[in-house]
Parts: sequence; structure tokens; C-alpha cells
Amino acid sequence: MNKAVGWAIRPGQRLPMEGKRLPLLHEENKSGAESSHSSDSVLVCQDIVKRFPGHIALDRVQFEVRKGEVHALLGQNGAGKSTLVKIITGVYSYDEGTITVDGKPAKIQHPKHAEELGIAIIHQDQQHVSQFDVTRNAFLGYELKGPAGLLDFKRMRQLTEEALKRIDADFTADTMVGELSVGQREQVAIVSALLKNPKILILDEPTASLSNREVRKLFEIIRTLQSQGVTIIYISHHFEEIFEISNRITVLRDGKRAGTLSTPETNKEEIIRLMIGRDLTQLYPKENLPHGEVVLEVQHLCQGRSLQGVSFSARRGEILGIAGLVGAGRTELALTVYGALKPTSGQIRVHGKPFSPRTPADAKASGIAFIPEDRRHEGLIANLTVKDNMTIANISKWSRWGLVRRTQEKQTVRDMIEKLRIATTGMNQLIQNLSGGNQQKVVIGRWLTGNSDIYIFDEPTTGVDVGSKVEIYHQMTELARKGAAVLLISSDFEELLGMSDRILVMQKGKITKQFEAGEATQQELLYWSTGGEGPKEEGTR
Amino acid sequence: MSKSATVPELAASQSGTRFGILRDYGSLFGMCLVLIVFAIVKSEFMAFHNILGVLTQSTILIVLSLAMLMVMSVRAVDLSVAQVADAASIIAAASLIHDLPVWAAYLLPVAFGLIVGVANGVLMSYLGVPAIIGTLGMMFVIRSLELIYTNGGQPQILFTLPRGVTEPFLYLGQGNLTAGIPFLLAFAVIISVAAFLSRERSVLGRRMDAINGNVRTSFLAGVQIKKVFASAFVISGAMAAIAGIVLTSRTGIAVPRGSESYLLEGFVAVYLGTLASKTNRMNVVGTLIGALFVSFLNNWLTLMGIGAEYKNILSGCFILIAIAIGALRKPKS
Amino acid sequence: MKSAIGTTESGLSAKERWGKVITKRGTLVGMILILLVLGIRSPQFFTISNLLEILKQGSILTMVALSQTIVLVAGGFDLSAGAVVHFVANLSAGMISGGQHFLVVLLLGILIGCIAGVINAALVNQLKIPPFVATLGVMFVLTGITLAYNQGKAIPLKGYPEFSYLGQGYVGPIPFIVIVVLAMLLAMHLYLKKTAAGLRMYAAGQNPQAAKLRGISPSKSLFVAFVIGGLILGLTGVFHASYNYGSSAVASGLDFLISALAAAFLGSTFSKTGELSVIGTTCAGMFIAALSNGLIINGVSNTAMSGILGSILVISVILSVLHKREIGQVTIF
Repeated sequence: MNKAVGWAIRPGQRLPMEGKRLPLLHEENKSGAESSHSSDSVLVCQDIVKRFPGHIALDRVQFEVRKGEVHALLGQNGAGKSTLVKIITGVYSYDEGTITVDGKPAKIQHPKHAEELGIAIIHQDQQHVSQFDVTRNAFLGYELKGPAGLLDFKRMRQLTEEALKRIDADFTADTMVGELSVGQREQVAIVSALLKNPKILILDEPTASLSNREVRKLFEIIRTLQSQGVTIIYISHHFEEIFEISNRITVLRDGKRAGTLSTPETNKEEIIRLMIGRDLTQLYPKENLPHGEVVLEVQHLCQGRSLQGVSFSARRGEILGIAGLVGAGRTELALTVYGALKPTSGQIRVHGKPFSPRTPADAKASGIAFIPEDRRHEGLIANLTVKDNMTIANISKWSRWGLVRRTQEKQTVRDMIEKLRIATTGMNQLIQNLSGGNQQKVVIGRWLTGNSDIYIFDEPTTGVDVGSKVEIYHQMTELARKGAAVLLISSDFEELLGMSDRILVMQKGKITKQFEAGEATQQELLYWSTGGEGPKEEGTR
Repeated sequence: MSKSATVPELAASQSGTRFGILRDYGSLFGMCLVLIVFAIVKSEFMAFHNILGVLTQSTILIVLSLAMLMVMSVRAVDLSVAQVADAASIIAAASLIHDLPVWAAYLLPVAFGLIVGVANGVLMSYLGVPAIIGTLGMMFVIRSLELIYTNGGQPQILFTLPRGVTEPFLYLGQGNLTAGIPFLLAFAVIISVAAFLSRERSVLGRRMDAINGNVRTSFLAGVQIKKVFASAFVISGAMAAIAGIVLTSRTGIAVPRGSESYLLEGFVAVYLGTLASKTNRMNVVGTLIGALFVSFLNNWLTLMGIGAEYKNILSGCFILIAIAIGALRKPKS
Repeated sequence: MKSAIGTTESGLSAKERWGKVITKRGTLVGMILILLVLGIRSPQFFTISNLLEILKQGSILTMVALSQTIVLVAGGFDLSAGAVVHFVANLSAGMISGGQHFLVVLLLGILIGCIAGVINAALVNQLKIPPFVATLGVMFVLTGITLAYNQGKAIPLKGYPEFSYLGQGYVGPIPFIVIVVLAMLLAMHLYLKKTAAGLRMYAAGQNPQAAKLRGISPSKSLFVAFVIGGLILGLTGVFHASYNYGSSAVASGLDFLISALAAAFLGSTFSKTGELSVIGTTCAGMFIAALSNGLIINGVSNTAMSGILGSILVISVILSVLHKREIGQVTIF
């Protein structure tokens, strides 16, 4: 129902990318930028260092935000955006550096400190108490009390209703959050942040699960807040949004600041260069292989609200890219094919036979392998060794009478460590002590020991160093060469273009576009991912 | 430009894998020290016949602790084990009293244990009942049935039966393999080895480890988590029943609610057992050590004429100490 | 009991409200039916005096259940509840028979309960021991201390009218202890549902992640819950000694636990979202007392009661978890 609206807006948004801007916006941005010169910094982060076991997440990062501006924070996955934000909001402590708020040194060590300084955040992975209603969730931690010290539900409910009205939400303050959709929960988060009257409001990927109308509404709210003197830090992957709404842009890359730019004076190409910072074409060891028969066929697959009639097929030797933004339904597609989610309707055929897995175990038996997106929670068994992590999926392969034949098992693991060049002190090292890239290689190695011929990689290179990335790409190519079908789900368009044969673009649970090999460009992928439904010329350069 | 794939935490991985084991003997040395002090205080404690007696007696606790270990290995808990053992011991005795053949006295209790195990498995794994609550409920249901059957707790006595009827049954608990070596000792070894193989060396055991570490990951790696989870309960039920049979066979009498104290001792054994592992993992060897330690402790307290009150206090302290040591030596993330 | 229904939600449209009331009353209707059947079979069940008697009989159980509820709300678990009650009951009986004033005993009981709560909370929060294990250890220790104190003998109390009034006295026709339970219920309901601290406790228990992001400390909530829970348990212990005219010799720490858990979880089925509430707990606690009373009037033996309790526990938990289940989910605690 929002198509018409989206159509009308998106072309307008595309203008900034071509170096032009809507006059009105330009005015706003300029005035915003001018009024906030030099000493008007509301937040200054200097030389922030944050170390995690295994890697340095932030390496002497500089970040300066001026009063009243919308400051976009950009970077690829794993560049350190979320870490920086968590430090500013007191969720993480930092190892080195200083933070100044309003010209005064601030020691932010707890979310409460950030709160007292007027910093509020809308998290990307917003957490709610699903058994509470909207009012209770919105005010959780900042409750209003009546005269007797008891909670003043009447006023809280009233304020929540008002705030909900402000963002045009279509649910009441009494609704249980557990009954809301993902997009509606996002709105609860916005309401919750608004209720705190923040000085600095951080929005972490706020539009990921919003409809176009909701995005419009959000931008209106942002502009209103800006006019009221609220400073906004806006984190997003969507360039159009950033060019439309921001005054300045800071780009992070590999935990370092790559640069800070004034939005009117830059363009997308410059930002991409800063984000990527290297010539990527050599990175992808893609081979053009002959494609065999169709091994996976999906027809009209629906899954709740996340998948709305997805159809595609994959052949042997093919790397099929699936593009889309967070929340487009790509992970749900993978999970449904893999038997971890129940489809509401539709059909899956594997090797030509109808296939309806009840659990991942069924899918595994039919030769499907799945490398999940969230490595920490879904890929690793942190307290087990490299060996145990690597062999768990196919453990029965090395068994006799139910007992594990350990010599054979160890030999396989040794070979795999060598083959994937996993940096480890040995197969008995705990996997939690490995770096992200090496952990990911173990998770992938888990499937290489079996006989799968359909591999689904869901964001396989998130938080992975470049060296490991190349190794992972090599393995994908290797799998394709051996005749497997590889599905590569990624938000990294460079990666998709570099590795895939065909690319499907998903948006809001549907495949909105299919590109044959060599047909797509980054711009087009971006265009179709962000909801392009308009004439094709709009998407091409 | 590109970063090399360094592994900065290699140096941080504590104390290497080979010598890490040495460090972990610390707590075990502590246990040995306690036993040595015991021996000094009471010299009979170290007498050969006493040690042999304790080892033989400890079989029941060993089997029951291993049963609990199976379930606790998948981060669940089975509060019904002791009650299953209890009911099994009554079933074994009752079968003999009701003139059933000896094999029935062995098999019926095990069948009962399996049934309870399956019921527990279905409840916890397939219906999603939290283990602690489901098994607690099961424990009380079994206790109730037991008391109803025994008219409010009348013991089932085998002494009054003809020797010929009970002899083959009592051999398990009272017979000697060769002169001086009780059969029960050999039985304990067999059960322990079986438990070791199924827990530490089998495919099922690996899957249990995986579930213990991360249920979601295991699920996505194609482990049939519900099946594994449920089988832990089934194994636990069967082993608990075996413990019950051993108890009746050893004492020649089945007292309703007579083995309830083993539940708490089992907990102590399993938790003490985590000290024998580098990663505070619940494991078979550690649990064996724990069960033996608890048995020797009980024996010493009895020799010293010290009552159950101190046993309880000591047991509680041992659990807390074992877990606290484990928590303290865990490297901070 | 009726006032309990529909207090948690308000401001809904009439239709929604009715929908909620009906889903909530599913369990309630079931309970009332069961009681009706019992009442029709034995008419003396529904006399005013018997109903008041039931409330009195259910009071101790309900108090323990209320304590368990607040700990569960904060995401904890208290295995030591029964042991605390038992210990305080023994101590109270001993001190009263030693000539202490009942107010001193009352205050000391509450103090001991609080200390037990602080210890539990410290073990869980500071030493990072899982609540189940920590409270298991404390349960052991307390059981031991109790045995050491009473030397395995019951301490009967006769001829202490002031002290006995606590558990056995009446205000007009209403038992004093029932008034205490109602006061406790009111205070806890206000605390949990109408104060910020209570709201945060629910949040911390249900989604610690979300709570942390809002600057709420789940460990602080758990601490408060354990201390309040301990306070109630201490008070319960004193009332227990008074109600029973003394203290019993031995009791397994798990006996109270089952009724308390059954009450808490049965109570949670009143809410559509399966939320634990003190009102639900109280209703369910009194239902359990009524059921037990009704069954005994109907000639069901006492030995069957624990089995029935166990079944109720399991069934109520199944009811409360069924609609929350997801594919591949394994509930551990």
C-alpha cells in the first residue's frame, strides 16, 4: 500500500547521489552546518580504543559531533560503528581515550551516565519485555511516580499515547509488545527515546524494518527534533537516507576513522572509497564455472510475515547471491529452506524431489549446509574446542557402534585446519579464543567434512578480517567447482558482485529483482534493495 | 593494506593445553589432603577392609551420580533419580516376594526406570516443561505411588523368603567374585566404563556437549536437540533404576523413601567432579572421584560418630566451594 | 479471590477485556469445577467454618509460595526456601520453650530469613553461581544446622498462648494468619505492580538484556528479591512453629518447594501472558489447600496428596509454557 508513496519519494532521494540536492534540504543542511561551527561541539570522542578478546574493535577513533546537526556514522559491517555507539551510551567501557560532552570531560561508564548527559539511543537490536504493554516498555527504567511513590500509570499512558500519535503509530499504549510486529516494536523504541527529551539522540539503523511511510514519518520527526536543538547521530547503510537527512558524515573503517565529511560537499563515490579504502577487485577469486542441473528449487515460499511468495532455483556450480537490507527476509528464507522455520505455504524441491524439512537435521540429511549469520550465538559452541566445533555436524561420520573413532576424527580436523589455514594453537584450543575470521573458518569447516551439495552462507564475512575473507571466498569457489550450489546472502554489495553468478534482490519478503551474471552494479543492488519498484532507468546509471 | 590474520590471543590462551591439566589437579589434591587428614585423625579409616567396604558401598552412589551427570550434562536436572531408584528397589523386592522369576526382579525395575525416563524426556524435551519443575513433579508422583503401594511406607523384606529364591538376586550386591573381591566392585567398574564410553567417547556424548555449550548452534548444526535432550533423561531413568536394584540386592530390604538422601549426595558428587576438568565441565571421571570422596567422607563421619547434621553442612559447603572455585578460575571474558 | 481477576490489566476496550477475562478464567473455572465436585460429594466442605479452616491451612504454604514467586519474578530460583522455613521454625520453637519473648523470636526469625536471602544473592551475584546450585548448597547447610540444633528431635510447644496466637489465633471468625497473608499479599502486589522497583524486577527477570540497556541492574533486582523472599521465609518459619505447636524433627527441604512452585506456576496460568503474580500465587496456594482439604474429606489418603501436587505442578507448567514454545526451543530452568 505504500508503493505509490515509496515511488514518489525514492527518485527524489536518488538526486543527492548524483551530486544534486533538493533545494529545501540543501538550505536546511547548510544552515545547520553553519550554525554549528568549531567550538560548538556537543560530543567529542578522542583517541577511543576498545579491545575485545581477539581483536581491536576501535583503534584511536576520533569522533566529533556539533550541536544541532544530524551526523551520520557510516562503515561496513564490523567497522566499529556499533561498538563506538555502545561506548558513547555507556554499554561498553573503553580502554583508552577521552569523551567530552558539552565541553566537559565525561566519564561514561554506565548507561545511566549517558542518560544523565542527555544521550539517548534507539538500538538496532532493540530489546523489549514482550510481556509488558507499550507504556511499561516505553517508560522502563525512567518510570513516572505519583505522590505516594507509586507508579503513575495514568500519566505514563497518556504521555505514551501522545508520543505514539507524534509518530503516527497504529497501535495503542495498552498493546502487549509481544503482539507487535518488528516494525511496530521499532516505533516503541522511538517513543521510548522521545519520552526522555534527549539532547543527543542516536539512531542505530532505525529504518531497517520500517515501511516507506514509517521512514518518512521518522525523517519528519528527526527534522522536528533537529529544529528543537536536538543533536542526532544517525547510523545507516542507506546512502539515500544519509544524503537526505545528514549534515556531516563520519566514516569508520576497520575500527579506525577513515574521515569526516560535510554532506553537501561530498558524494557517494567518495564515501564508498572511504568505507572500502582499497581496490577490491583482486579480492574475489571468482571462477566462471559451468552450471549443472537444478538442485534447489523454491516455489511461492511464504513464512509468516517475513516471506511472501519467494521463488527461485539454484544449479550445481552456481554461486547465487541474495542481496537485500537487514530485515528483508533473507535470513528467514535461509532458515525456512534449512528447516529451522516452518513455511506457511509454498514448496521446496531438492534434487527434484519435494522437500519439507521439519528440523535442520532433516535438511542436513538432504545435503543442505547452513552457515548462520550470528556467529557468536548460532555458529559457535564457545566452550568447546576447535575440534569439537568442527566435527559436530557430521560427527556420526567418524563413528563405529555409536562411539567416535578419534584417530580418524583428529586426522580430518588436522587436514581441515591446514586447508582453511586456521590460525590456532591446536585443535584442542577453545574456539572462543580464536579471532573472528578463524572462528568463521571453523564454522565453515564444519560443513566441508560432509557430503552437502547445497551451501547457504548467511553474511559469512561479518566481523571477519580480510585475510580470512579471501580464504572463505576461496572455499566458496572450491565448493562450486566441486558441483555444489552456493547461496550467498550478504549486505556487502561488493562481495555479492565479486562472488556471485546471478544475484537476487530481496525486499520485504519478496524477490524484487533478479540480475544475471555481470548485469548488476552496486547502485542497482542498492536501488532495488531499498524498495525500488519504479521504472528501471531510475536504477541504472 | 590488508591486515594479516594475526591471532593476538594465542599468547593469552592460558597455560597451554598440556600443562593446564596439572593446575587442575589442585582441587583434587585438596580432596586427597582431606582424606589424609581423616586417616590421621581416625586410623581405622585406612584399614583395608574399611576401604574395600566403602568402595563396595559406594556403587549405589556412583551409579546414581552418573545418572544425574547424564542429565546435568545437557544443562538440565533430574530431581526424580533418587525416587526412581527408590521405586526400583521396591519393585525388585516386590517381584521376588510375589514369586516372580529372578530375571523379573532385574528387568522390571529397569523397565520402570525407562518408562519414567521416557515420560521425563517427553515432558522436558517435547512439551517444554522446565526440567527442575517437571522432574520435581515426577519425584512426588512416584513417591506418592510408592507410599500407596507400600501402605504408607512398609519395608519390603527379602530375608523372610527362602534362601534359594533370593540367592541369585542377592549375588549382585553381596556375592564375591573371587575370595575377598565383591562382585559389586566389578559391577561398579562395568557401569563406570559404560558411562564413560557413552558420555565421553560416543556420538551421543558429543551431541550432549554441543547442546550444553549452545542449544541454538547445535540445532542449526543439525543436531536433533530434542532427541538428545530426551535420551539424557531416558539413560538417567534406566541408570537410576539400576542403582535401586543394587540397593535392594545389597541390603536385602527395600525401604520406601530409603534412597532419597542419595539425591543430594549425587549433586555433591557431580559438582565436585567439575573440579577435575579444565573447563569446569561435568564429566564421568570427575563424578566418579566426587562420588568416592562423598562415600569416604560419610564413612569417616560414621566412624567418628558424627551425625547427619555435619554431613549436610559439609556437603553444602563442598558444593558451594566446588562451584566457587570453578567460577573463580574461569578466565574473564 | 474474585477481586484478583482483571486487576493487572486495565484501559482495554470492553471486548478485549472480556476476551482476556475468559482466557484467564479457563484455569479458574477448572479449579472451581474440581472444588464443586468435591463439595457436592461431601457437603461439609462448603461450610463457612471449613472454608475459613482451608484458608488457615493454606496460609503457610501460600507464604512460602509468595516468597518463591518474587524470586522467580526476578529471574532466580530458591531451592533453600523449605530449609529456611524449617530452620527458623526449629529455632523459634527452641527459643520459645527456652522462655524468650515471642517478639524477639519473630524479629530474629525475620533477620535470619533476610541473612539467608543475602547469602543466596551474594552467591548468585558475586560468585556467579547459578541460582539452582547456590540455593542447593544453602539448603544443605541449613538442613545440617537445623539437625545440629534440634538433635533430630521434634520440639513441641504447649502452653504458650501468646506465641500460638500467631498461627492459631482468630480475629473474630477470621484466623489471624490469614490476615497476615492478606497484608503480605497487598504489600507485595503494590510493590511488584505499582512501584518502579517492582516493574524493573519483572523486566530483569523476563529480559535481562532489555533491562540492562535501560540501565537497570538485574543483579540488584535479584538481590532485592532474594532478601524480600528471605524475609517472608523467616516470618513463615516463626508462624510455622506457632501453627504446628512446635517444630517437626526432620523434613526434606524439597517438600515445601513442590507446593510453592505448584502455587506459583498454577497462579501464572491466570494471566494470558503467563506472567507470575502474587495474586495468582495466593489464589493457587489456597486452591491447593482447598483441594487437599476436599480430598481428605472425600476419603483420599494423605499419601496420594504429594502425587496429586506433583501432577498439578506439571500440568500447570505445561499450561503456562505451551503457548510460549518455539521450534527448537529447549527450556532448561
